[in-house]
Formats: sequence, structure tokens, C-alpha cells
Amino acid sequence: MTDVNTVAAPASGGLKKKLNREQKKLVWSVFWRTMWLMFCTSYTKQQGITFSWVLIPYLEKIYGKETDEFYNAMARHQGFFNTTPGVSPFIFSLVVAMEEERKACLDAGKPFDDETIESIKVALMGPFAGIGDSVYSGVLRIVATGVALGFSQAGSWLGPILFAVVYNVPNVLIRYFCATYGLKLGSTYIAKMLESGTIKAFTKGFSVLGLTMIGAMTAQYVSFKTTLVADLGGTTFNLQSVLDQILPGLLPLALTLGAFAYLRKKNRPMRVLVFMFVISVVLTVLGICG
Amino acid sequence: MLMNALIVGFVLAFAKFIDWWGNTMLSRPIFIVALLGALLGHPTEGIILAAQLELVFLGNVSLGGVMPTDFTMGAIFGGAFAMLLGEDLATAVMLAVPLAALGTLLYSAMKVVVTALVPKFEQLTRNKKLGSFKALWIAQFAMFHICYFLLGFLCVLLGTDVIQAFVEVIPDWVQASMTVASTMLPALGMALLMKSLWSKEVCPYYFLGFGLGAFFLYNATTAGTITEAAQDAAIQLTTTTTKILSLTQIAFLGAIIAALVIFSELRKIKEKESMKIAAKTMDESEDFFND
Repeated sequence: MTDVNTVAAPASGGLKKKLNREQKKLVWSVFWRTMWLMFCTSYTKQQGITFSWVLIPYLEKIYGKETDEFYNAMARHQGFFNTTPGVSPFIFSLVVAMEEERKACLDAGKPFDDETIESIKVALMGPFAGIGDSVYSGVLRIVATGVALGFSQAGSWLGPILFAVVYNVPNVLIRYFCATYGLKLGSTYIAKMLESGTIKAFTKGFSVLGLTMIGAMTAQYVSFKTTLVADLGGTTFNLQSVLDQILPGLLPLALTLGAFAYLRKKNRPMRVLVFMFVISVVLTVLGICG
Repeated sequence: MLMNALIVGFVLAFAKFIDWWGNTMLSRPIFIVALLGALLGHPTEGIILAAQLELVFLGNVSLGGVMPTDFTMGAIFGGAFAMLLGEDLATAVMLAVPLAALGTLLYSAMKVVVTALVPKFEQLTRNKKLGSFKALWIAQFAMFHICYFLLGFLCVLLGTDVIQAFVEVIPDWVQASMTVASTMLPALGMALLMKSLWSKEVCPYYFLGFGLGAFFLYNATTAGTITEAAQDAAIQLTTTTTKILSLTQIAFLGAIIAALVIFSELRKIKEKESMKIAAKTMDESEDFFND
């Protein structure tokens, strides 16, 4: 275990730090193993059990195979854990680095508070899930769907392929860079970033892009149209063209905002779903839509 | 039918696997139903159905381990039965929505089993049995995917006749209503998405996106016919209203605005920090003069 000291450098660090060969290998290993994070998610611990599963080879390397220290470390890493899987490599890299530091401290006869590792995990999983979910579900998925939908609706193969590529190229890059920067930056730097609000600034930017896209998709993919045409004493009355003159896309916008207003007050999406089925039946039977 | 049942079972298990492994989002209807269509021998139909089902389930995302409805299972069964029975989107939606709700129940039940295994994992760690720990970890997710494979396989093998009988007795007005509903359901998806991103500060951007998507229209000429009118021949043009900006183009503009917002936020943070430093030095100098 002579290489422990060369790999560990969690407390200090920065963006410009270069990784050595051993660390680069670790980055790729974390990259691949964290792909499995979602397997075995339970109600009580979410990703907790798999968190320890991911760490098995690293803990074996640090503390030695089948040692008491190894099993203690495994037990320490089975607490509740839940974050966006895509950004989790960052936390794993950081935890591996901190475990190495812990080992180095204990070898040198210095005390090490095990709580620091656990508290970093707990402190990071919330903000990382916040930014991760808004990037992955709010931006990447929406942009990928938006790019692909037009092609798919026309029946072109480009649709599903573009969806897979536009979503997954950033997904893979984020995972790789998270694993790298977890090692590079170290715990101190992250604490500073959380404190200063840099992460919040990025989350806000991603919300802006996400909301813009949702607005655009409301306009282009909620196609709630009326087909009512009445003959009123010689002049034809076309309900849809009147609505279009007031504001193009008025009905889809009203429907979406109505659903949103209800969901904000009462979180019951199933009710909205049933309600939509009911009004679509009513409007079709009355001859207003369909 | 056996082959089709095997395909649906495989696609369902694969979708569940790829949903977790690497979180590739390939379990979304837009991709997985297209794949299903290609395997079932209805490639183009599959891609179009995939797009429509994606719109219906657009707002359903599993966040924080909570799955609102199992859109993957709903879309796969809805799409599979529609393609196998030669039915259209209305049928797919009618089957997919309730099956997605049922799928959530099944998923919750499976998660209860996994939760029951957690103490076992902890016990194996305490008893220092790493081999069994690894084996149990693999066994639990293998079982999970085998269950989904069997579900897809058996439902198509045994359920197709039942579904066909069911689809045949549905009256026309229900079919028409389902088509209308499928154009309205994306609104619920949008509303669910907005819930996770909406705040007072950023809400105007939703309306900006809506405006960019809705207001810029042009009349595209799609066909022209020469008509013999009373005096002379005239050309009659058929036009359709088309949106000028595609979603990709709006995403480009949106990314620019997002970058501007991030820069201004970062500048604010820097200003705040320099203010703090300035205030600190002021304090120190005051102390100096007070002494």
C-alpha cells in the first residue's frame, strides 16, 4: 500500500491540478462502476447499499482484502444515499480520496474523524441532486426530445437516434468530468463553492433554458384545437380562427397553465389526467373538438 | 405470436435495465417504442407511435426514486398491442395510460422486496461475507429483470386475444375522444415539468419560449392547381401554416439567454464578495483610528 499517499490529496487541490497515471485509472474505474448506482434502490436507503458495492475495489485496495478495516468501511458506507446518478461520480471520487487520507492519517498515528466523510456525503447529495436533476431532466432530456420529436413524427430514423445521442454525449462527458473533478478539487474547495452560491447561479441558468424549452413545446406540441364551424345567418363562424386572432396557441397555453396551477396547489396528477379524458370525451361528443 | 411475445418481453427487460444502467434515458417512449417497432417489423409506424407516446408521457420523470407512472411499461404495452393488432394511436394511448398506472404498483411491490433485502445486506457485511454480498446484489437485480421479461412475454402471449376483443367493442366516439385526449395530455406533461423548474424569478422565460414557439408563422405553399375560371385560367395555391422556429433553434436562443443569466449571477456573487472584503478592511481601519 505504498501508493496510498500519492493518490490521496483531498483537502488541498484546485482546477489546475494534474492527475497522475494511478489517478487517471481511478477516474475511469469510478466512471464505469457508478453506471450501476441505480440497481438495488430501496425505500429505506435508496442507493445506500449500492454505494458500498461501488466502493468495494477501492476499499479493498486501501485497507486490504478481507480485513476488519475493510468491513468497517463497507458498513460506514451503507447509510441512506440518494442523488442524481449522472453527477454521483464526483462524490465517489471525493469519498475514495478521503478514505485514502483517512488511511494515511491513521498510519501516521494521527486521529481521523470518520464523521467528516459521512457528513460530506450527506452535505453534497442534496445540492448535487438539485443541480443534477435540473440539468438531466430539465435541460438535457427536454432539448434532446425537442430536437428529436420533429424527425420522429415524420417517421424518420433520425428521431430516436438523435434523441439517444443528444442526451447521452453530455451524459457521458458529465460523468467523466465529475469523476475527474472529485479527485482534483477536494472537499475544501467544494465547501467554498456551496457557500458562495456558484452552484445556485448555474441551477438558475439551467432553469431558464428548461423553462424556455417547456414554453416552446407547449406552443408546438400541445395541439388542443377546436373544429366547431357554425353557420350564423350567412356568415360562417369558425371558433378556432377567432381564437387564433386573439392569440395563437391560446387554448394550449390556457390548458397547460390551468393544469400547472392545479398541480401547484394540489399535487394530484392522476386527477388532472382523468379530468382531461373526461373533457375530451365531452368536447368530442358535443362536436367542438375531434 | 411466440416470437412477438419474446420480443416484447426482451424489450421490456432491456428498457428496465438501460433505464438504470448509466441512466441513458433510452427507456423513454421516444426511443424504446421505436426499437420495439423495428423488432416487431413495423419500423416507421413504431417511430411515429414513439413520438406520440413520448408526448403523452413527457412530464413523467422519476426523480428522487419516486416514479409517478411507469411510462416505460405503459408505452411498450400500448405500442406493442397497437402495432400487433394494426390499431392506431388512440388505441395505444387508451391502453398505455392505465397500464402505466398499474406498472407503478408493480414497481412499488418490487421495491418493497428490495427494501426487505437491505437488512440482509447489512448482516452479510457484519458477518464479513463479501462473496455472498456480491452474489445477493447480482441476484436481486437479475430477478428484477427476469420478472419484467416474463411479464412482457406472458401478457403478449396470453393477452393479445383479450385486448383484441376489447378493442373491437369500443365505439367510435370513444376512439375519437382518445385522439382528442392524446393531443391534450402533453399539457399535463408540461405542467409537471414546470413544477420542478418554476420560480417567480425565472417564470417569464416560460412565456418567452411560448412566444418564440407560437407566434412566428408563415404560410408554406404545399400544392398548386390550375383552375379554369370563367374568364381566364388561374393558379390556386394550397397553403398550410408552419412554425418558423424549430425547437432546436429555440434551444439555441435559450442557451444564449441562460448563459447571460449565469454570467450576471456570477458577477453578483463576485461583487458581494468584494463588498465583504471592503467592509472588513473598513472595520479594521476604524479599529485602528479608535485606538
